[in-house]
Amino acid sequence: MDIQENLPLTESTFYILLSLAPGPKHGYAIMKDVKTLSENRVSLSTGTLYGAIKRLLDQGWILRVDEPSQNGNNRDRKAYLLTQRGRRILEAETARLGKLYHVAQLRTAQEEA
Amino acid sequence: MNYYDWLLSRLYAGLLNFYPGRFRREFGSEMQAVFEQSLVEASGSGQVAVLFLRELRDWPKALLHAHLQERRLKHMAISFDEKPIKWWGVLAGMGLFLLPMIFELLGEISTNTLPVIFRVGLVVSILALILFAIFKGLSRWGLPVLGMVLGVLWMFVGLQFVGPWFVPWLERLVQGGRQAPPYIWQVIMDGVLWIPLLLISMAFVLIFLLLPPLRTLYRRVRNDWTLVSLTLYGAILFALFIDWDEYTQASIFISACYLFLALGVAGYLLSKTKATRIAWLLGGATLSMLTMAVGKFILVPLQDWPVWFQWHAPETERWFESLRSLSELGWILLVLMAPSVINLLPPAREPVVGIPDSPIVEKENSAVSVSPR
Repeated sequence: MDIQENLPLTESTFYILLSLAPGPKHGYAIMKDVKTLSENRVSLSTGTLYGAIKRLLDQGWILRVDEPSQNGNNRDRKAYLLTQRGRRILEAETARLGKLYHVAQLRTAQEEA
Repeated sequence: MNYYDWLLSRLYAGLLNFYPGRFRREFGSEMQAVFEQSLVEASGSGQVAVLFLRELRDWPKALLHAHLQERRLKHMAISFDEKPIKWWGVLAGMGLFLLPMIFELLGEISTNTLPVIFRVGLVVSILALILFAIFKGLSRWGLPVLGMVLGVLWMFVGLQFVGPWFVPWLERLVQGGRQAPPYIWQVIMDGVLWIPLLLISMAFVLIFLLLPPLRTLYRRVRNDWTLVSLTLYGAILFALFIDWDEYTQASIFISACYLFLALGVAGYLLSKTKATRIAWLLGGATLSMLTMAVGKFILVPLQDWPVWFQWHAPETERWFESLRSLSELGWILLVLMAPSVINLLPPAREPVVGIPDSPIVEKENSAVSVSPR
């Protein structure tokens, strides 16, 4: 399926993918990162977050991996990372938003002139 | 964690119980852990109530999405399941063709003509099979039933609407119309049954593609186009009903025709590759129609058709009927093979849902920037 068919992304999906762009993260870290990236505007509940994660896993945009335990309780945490397809979609959406911004800037500049 | 946090944590665990089992098993413990982490942080900043109210606010919507997604998954699992079919599925698939065979033989044993009670029994049994197929989620074995229904609908409903303008148009198209050699005309008329069935099936596939709720069906068909061939295979049964109508002393040949079709379906359902599946369908149809050709060649002179034989010599008629069966076989093979040829085309690039791309190796500087240009 053409990547463009998946655009535009919902704000939550965009932020989740963006949060995973630098590297794998577990659920709580994604939640915090989304809040930071959106300057506290988007606060995901666990239900919304994991509903989105489930959908992104099914679509093959992200992948689940075991993150080794850090506190010695032998319980591996699940982390999520972008697949190549997920990254392509994120890049396409970023480019789309960039174009929108560019067009809006041009039009505003014309009006001011 | 203080008592109130512990209580909220238990309440949250209770809310998780409303999610579908599969979702809960996959994400439940993670969601609980994330909630408890959030709770600890919220306790420090006095935001516990905000946190829990946010969870409560989003809970119905998240729950609804999870259940809808689960229903879709279940539907995918039931419909056209690609897992090896169970023995009763094979038997049910054969049933559509074995039931008429059984009733044909019963009718032969009891009297010379098929009694009304057996005809009614046959119709009731096939209707029961259709209902069972629908009840079981229209798995592969139920598809020929759909094909037969499609054949009946096209012949008795579709053709009644289209026929009045289509047949005269066809007559004008074929030089001489009905004055053309009878065999040629008959070949064309057989095509009028089979080619529209293929087109209607393809139209259904297109509808599956265009309507998002039915796209799952489209994906299944796209993965294996022989499913369309299997559906159309069921229409052969209806063609046999018509072709053998008015024949007497034909039970052995008619039963053999049904049996070969049943074996074709059994072979299809038990096959693991698309090539062997389509081979079984083609084999079943070929043996069935060849049996009909041979049967008619033998039986035509034995028929009590005094009026008909005034106009057509029995010797000519037997050749006509046999060759007609072969020409119909030609149409059937064409129609069965047409969807399967699509399997030979390169597959679409879209990854199969649920199977992710290979993970990428993350690098320090691979973050995507979203700063406006």
